Amino acid sequence: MKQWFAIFSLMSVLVSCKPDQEIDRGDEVYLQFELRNGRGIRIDDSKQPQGMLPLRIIAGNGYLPDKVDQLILEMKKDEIRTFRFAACDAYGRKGIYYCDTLNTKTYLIEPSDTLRMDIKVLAIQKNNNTIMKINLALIFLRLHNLALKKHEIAF
Amino acid sequence: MKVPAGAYKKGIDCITDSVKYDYWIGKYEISNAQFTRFLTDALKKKFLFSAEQVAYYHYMANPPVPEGDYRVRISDERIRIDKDSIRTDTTQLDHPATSVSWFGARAFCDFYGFDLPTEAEWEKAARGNTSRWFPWGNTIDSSYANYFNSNDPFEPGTTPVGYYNGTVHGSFKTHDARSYYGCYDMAGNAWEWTADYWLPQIPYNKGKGGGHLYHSPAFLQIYYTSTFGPATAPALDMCNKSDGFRVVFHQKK
Repeated sequence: MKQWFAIFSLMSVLVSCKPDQEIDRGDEVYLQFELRNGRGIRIDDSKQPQGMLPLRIIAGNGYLPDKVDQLILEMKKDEIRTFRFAACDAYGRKGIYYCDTLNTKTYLIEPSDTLRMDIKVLAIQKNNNTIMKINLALIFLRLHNLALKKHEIAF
Repeated sequence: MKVPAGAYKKGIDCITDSVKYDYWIGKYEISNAQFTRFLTDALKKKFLFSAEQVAYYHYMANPPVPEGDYRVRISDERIRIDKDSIRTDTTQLDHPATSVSWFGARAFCDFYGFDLPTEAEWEKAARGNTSRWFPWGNTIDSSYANYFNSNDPFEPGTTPVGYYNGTVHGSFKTHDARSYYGCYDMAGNAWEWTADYWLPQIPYNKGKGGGHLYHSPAFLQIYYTSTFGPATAPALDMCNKSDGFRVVFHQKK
């Protein structure tokens, strides 16, 4: 029995730490990102000021705008990708602006803009459900084997 | 809401730290009604002055911020500042006061004897000594908070303060999204100014809580702190459309 526990534990570690693991829906992911508008102006990022923390998300669970949420699936740890997408796909058809002085609308994101987002995957914490499924499968296998053994003894 | 001295979890790693004194923090973000009253009284008492539809506060030097006249709030469709008279959109009175600069939040506190929360006070009020991601727990959807495209009836604007309280508003269902110590809207609606600077050489104050504009649920987590926007650093007294605040009160010794 001890051997089985050791195998379960090892499998759990392998599932959560495998270096080339891709992002699956439901994984806890830590990202570094930089978002620029069509003119190349940085709108937001997770790199500055110094000490800025990474962005933590649950992949595919609506933590990011729909388009971005889908694009990051299947990325791997340490992978860097540049995405370009229509602003209206991520931020709707009204665009985003802020009022600078005297109520002047300064657009951060024009609805017709093409945005550029650079994303680096810093870490992936596999969803416990994935680990749980594997462990359950292993337990099932073990019980199945036990049952077979019992069957053998009975005969 | 009273927050007792003691341990809390801070940051993305939920490291245990402590606030060594009791304090009281606003249950809600400061509303347009409250801010309108402040503007009216403060202009009348010459605590503020206005020019070209902008209210200003003379801020005494407090390094790293130099002394100067800083914008408190610009005029917009919700609050219009016209010389010494203030006109407010009556449908927005119970919404959070936004387009308020850090100096506006500071002026409000100075006028009434409050303070802005430090980042530590804010995070403790949001999650206490738990490791929750959001003020109410670990899950989020549009029934918990007002964020960009969250499909609330006020989209794309702010929602009334305390809107996400478990009530069904028409056909829009909300969860009771109060924080560990009972504060509302600590995620979404308005970004909330804090008293802390990023760094002495970056005299921009930190914002917490995520806003109703542009940001997605990921940015509403307790640990997350706002950057100051576009690459070209904006004016210190920027009045962004989603910036507001709540206050804290410290018992004098």
